Amino acid sequence: MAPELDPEPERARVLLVEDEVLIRTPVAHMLRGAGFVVIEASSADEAWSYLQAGAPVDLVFSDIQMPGSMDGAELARKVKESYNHIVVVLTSGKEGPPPGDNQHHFIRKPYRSANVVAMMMSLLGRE
Amino acid sequence: MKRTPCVLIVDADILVRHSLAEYLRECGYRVVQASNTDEARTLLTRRRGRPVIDVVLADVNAAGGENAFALATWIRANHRRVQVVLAGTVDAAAEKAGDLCEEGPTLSKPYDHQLLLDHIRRLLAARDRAECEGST
Repeated sequence: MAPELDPEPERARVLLVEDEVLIRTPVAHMLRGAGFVVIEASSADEAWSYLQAGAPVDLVFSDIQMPGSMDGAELARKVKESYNHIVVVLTSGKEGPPPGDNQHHFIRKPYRSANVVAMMMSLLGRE
Repeated sequence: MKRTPCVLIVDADILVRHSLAEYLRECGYRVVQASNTDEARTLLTRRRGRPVIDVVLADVNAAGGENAFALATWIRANHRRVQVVLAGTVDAAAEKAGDLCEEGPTLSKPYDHQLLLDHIRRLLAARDRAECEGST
């Protein structure tokens, strides 16, 4: 009898939140190239509406400074409150210490693609 | 090797944008997304390293500094190789869109995925044929 093979794991779903389209587009392309399913949101409000629609997401990767009724830090807080199983990674190009209460993972802009992918794989247990 | 055609989806609804994008990717297209017409213009104003866009699929109700009809007019004037498909629920808007774009480019929402795919294929084939005839 042929040995049973482990089924291929389902691709992880990353909700990418970035208001600057010229950053969002290449980052989304890079993440797709790394094997993720990427959902592109242009604001924290849009990302929140996507989550509230019940669509499955494994990781939220969000810029902090964004226009709209909430920024990335507020989105992260709400995600942790309502969807605790979702990993949140925040990013910012702003100088100074990472904002917030260290509840979320943080990577500073400009970041290297390989570092972002490695961090996500590790956080999702897919190394 | 032939370049993978690229479709730009312009739609304010993240659920529509994402499901359409995933479907078109499965069909072999490269897909980029804009949540409004301003982002679409930015992506179309190509500089080095950005994808060459072949088809723009825009919701007639897309938000932004200009509406989808103005975006379509601008594309036709400045990016002759780019095919424009406007989609919407309002009959009058769809009719108006038909005046602006190629023959029969309007679709109604909700999208029929197969219809959309056939439509994009036809548009690109017609463009390639026209360019081929023009070069002989």
